[in-house]
Amino acid sequence: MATAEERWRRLVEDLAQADAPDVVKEARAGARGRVRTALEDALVDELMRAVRGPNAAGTADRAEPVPTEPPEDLGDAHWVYCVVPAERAPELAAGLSGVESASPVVAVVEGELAALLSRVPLSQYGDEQLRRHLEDIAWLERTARAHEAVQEGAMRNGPLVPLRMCTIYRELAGVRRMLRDRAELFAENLAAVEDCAEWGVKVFVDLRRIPASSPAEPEPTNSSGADYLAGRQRERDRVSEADELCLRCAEEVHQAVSVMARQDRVNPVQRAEAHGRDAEMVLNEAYLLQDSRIEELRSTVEELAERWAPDGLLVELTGPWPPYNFVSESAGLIS
Amino acid sequence: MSSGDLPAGAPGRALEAQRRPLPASSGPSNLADILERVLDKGIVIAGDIQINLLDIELLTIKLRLLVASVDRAREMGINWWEGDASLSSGAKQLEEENRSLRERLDRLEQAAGLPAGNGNREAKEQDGDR
Repeated sequence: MATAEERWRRLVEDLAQADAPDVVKEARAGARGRVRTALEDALVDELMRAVRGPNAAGTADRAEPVPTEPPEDLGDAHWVYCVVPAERAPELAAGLSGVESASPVVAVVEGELAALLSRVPLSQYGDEQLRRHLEDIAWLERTARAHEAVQEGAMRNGPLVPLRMCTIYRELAGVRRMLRDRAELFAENLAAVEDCAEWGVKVFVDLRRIPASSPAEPEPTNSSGADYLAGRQRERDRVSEADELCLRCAEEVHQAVSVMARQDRVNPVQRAEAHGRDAEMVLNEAYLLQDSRIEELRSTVEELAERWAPDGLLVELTGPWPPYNFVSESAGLIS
Repeated sequence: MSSGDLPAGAPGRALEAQRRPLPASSGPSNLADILERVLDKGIVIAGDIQINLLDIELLTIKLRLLVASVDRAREMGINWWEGDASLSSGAKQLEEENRSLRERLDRLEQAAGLPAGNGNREAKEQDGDR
């Protein structure tokens, strides 16, 4: 008489026996698929190198002289912009041009995910060159804008996880491995930003424009030390009043916008050299907002801007941005 | 930059000028806003090109004092990517001190009935040399 436990084990064994052939078949098919993709990628990379290389068979056979290729032509690498859900990837990539305008953006699909990337010449994007480029503000501006523009183009049709600029792979296989190894992380991030975009809200103040609480007294014509000190005191009072006003404005703005947002993040204020205004930045927030609330956000910020303008405070909205502030390398994401 | 320079000493007019339509998502974005994101945020993965993550970190710190655009940088004569001295907090303090000294000088000049601006100009030149 078999015990319940024995019967149970036999049942599982039978099931396993029955399923094994199918599983093996599927695994073989899966493995073949994966190997084929890896081979295809490697072949594409190799072919590109062969076509471009100065000693490529095709060019060497030709009678005409080989056009002077720069000797440092090392082939291409892959500049990755963002990770998106696989099913929408081809449509997202369509029509976008990358950091090198001649190279279109393409989607590389791996499982449920896809990376949007474009080719860049290693002669310009290798270790040394890249480091030099990063010190060149014109290059940096052009490339940063291009990197961001690709994401902006892609985010119109669905969620994306933006990668920091200068994420470069030599081989497509490396991109696929990255997608596989971090599949869970990307899936979590994609879910967190689904149907959302990032918006920036900043508050600026021009201290000269803060209305003085008491009318400014005319400067005495022959000023004494006491007059000078009194002037300094008035100036100090005015500044601390301004501080208080800024704080109130920043708090009110943040309160009003954060209740609409799914997440928010305080960023360090930018210095005047950075934002280029003749005013001081007092608030620099990023909000993750559902697309259905955009109109609400716009009208709220507009209202706040109008209300605070007479006090010399400027409330500014930017966006929609790729959700840079709301993706994370840790599984816990941002609280 | 749309904001331009604000006219000093005309608070009434300046306030009026400030009541302009909300610049929400129109026109090219401020470079500072973009760099703040593409260099400092987003998922960071070390790809195959070993652009040292440290290099980018350093750059990011530099960008804390970055300029609004290339034109503006040239206009201001700023080579922030060359001199690291400006990164130290000491430099900021110096700048602050310099400014308050300049203000004081202006006041003293005024009090002494000297033609205003001489000392200020000199201070600015020195500032530029730094």
